[in-house]
Amino acid sequence: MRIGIVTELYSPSVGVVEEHVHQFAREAGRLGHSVKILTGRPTDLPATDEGPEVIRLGPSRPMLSGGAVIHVSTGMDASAEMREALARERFDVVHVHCPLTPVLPLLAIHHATGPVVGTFHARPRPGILARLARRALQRYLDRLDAAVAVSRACLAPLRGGRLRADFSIIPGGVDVDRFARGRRLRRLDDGRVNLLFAGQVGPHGGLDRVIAAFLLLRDQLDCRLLVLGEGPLLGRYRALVPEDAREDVVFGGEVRDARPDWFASADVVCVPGPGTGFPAAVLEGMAAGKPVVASDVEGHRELLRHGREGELVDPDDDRAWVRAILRSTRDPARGAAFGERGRQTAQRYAWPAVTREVLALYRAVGVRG
Amino acid sequence: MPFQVPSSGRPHPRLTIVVAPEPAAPRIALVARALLARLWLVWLGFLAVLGALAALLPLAWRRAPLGRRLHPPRREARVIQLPPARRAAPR
Repeated sequence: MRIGIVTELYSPSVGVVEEHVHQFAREAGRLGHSVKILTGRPTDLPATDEGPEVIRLGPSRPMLSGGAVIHVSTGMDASAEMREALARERFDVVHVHCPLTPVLPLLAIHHATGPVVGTFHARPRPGILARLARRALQRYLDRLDAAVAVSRACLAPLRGGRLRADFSIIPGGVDVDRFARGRRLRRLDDGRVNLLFAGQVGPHGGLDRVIAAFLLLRDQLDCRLLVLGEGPLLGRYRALVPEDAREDVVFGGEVRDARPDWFASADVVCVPGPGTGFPAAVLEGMAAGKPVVASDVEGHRELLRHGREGELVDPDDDRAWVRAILRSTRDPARGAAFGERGRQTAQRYAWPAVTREVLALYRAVGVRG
Repeated sequence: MPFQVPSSGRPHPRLTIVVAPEPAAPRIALVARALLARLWLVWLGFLAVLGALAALLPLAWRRAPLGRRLHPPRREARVIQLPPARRAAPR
């Protein structure tokens, strides 16, 4: 099967969608399918080595959206380039990620003549432009042969925008083997309890909540906070840490290859986000065999059962976070049991299983090849 | 034989290098820097939106996608209300 994946978000930028596309392409390629990724060429990031399976269409510029930096393709040539690429490659199916967002996803849906599948990831509430263009967007949504959402929670903003479609829920996946192989980083392996935050460093990521809980926790537990991720607001979060606690908070930045090692170094994984997209950090924590403490929101409830793989706590109650973290660390057997059950649950979200589900959906809508 | 000073692990106190803490920038400079950074982000966003609109402009000629679905969705079944039951006329 010749599969064309269209996404604005791809390497060298780092994120949940980028990882989703990369892992699916790798797994589908392993099963003998030909996969090509159509994406933009970021003007502000260094180019990376990539094979012929990545087609860079045109310059994409950075912009701030919801506290995070995203990229959008620009220029009058983008439409013609997309049309030519689709005509040249003759894909059996075009799979568009974040289908109703500018620019490449809309261009791909517009020009594709064969089957089109769209996967919806996290999306903020539709802005005024999206509301004004609701009818046009509905036409593009109706064009999709299949609409997929990575979680039920990420459909809520679409309902708010009054867009209608029949969605299949196919969650994102996790590289189970890679996270199970993680090794504790020596410099963090000194007997202190390590709390790990690996969510979005932005206004909705909840890092301020974890920092507040950590500052309360320091009086009761010899602990350290590890923060993974980058973002324009990182400086603001650094400033939330008082002078005397700076040595106990490690900002690791954007980590790729060593990510499983950071998870292996953690004693508890904290995920305080709103869970509107696919909460990959929850799955990564479970795959690493760590107890997960997450905010009690719909997106997290879909993956994690309270008291089985970790705990779900009131996102606005700092003391509830402290109590949940203390329960997992003071009773190692309890934390280990959470971790072991999490490891088992994560197997269901291994990339081979998720990829087979997506390929089955292609065939269900009549894709041949 | 020259006299040798017994070496200690620590250098002479007068020779140790003390890193003086950097003087904090005045508040007005920090505010100006934050304002400039914000303006820069707004400018980048403006350029991106402008470029994105230019890229989407060709779609305005034909406002619907060019292709069609393989299997158009079936129209929802309509519920047709039955007329109220009539009583048989007496013979």
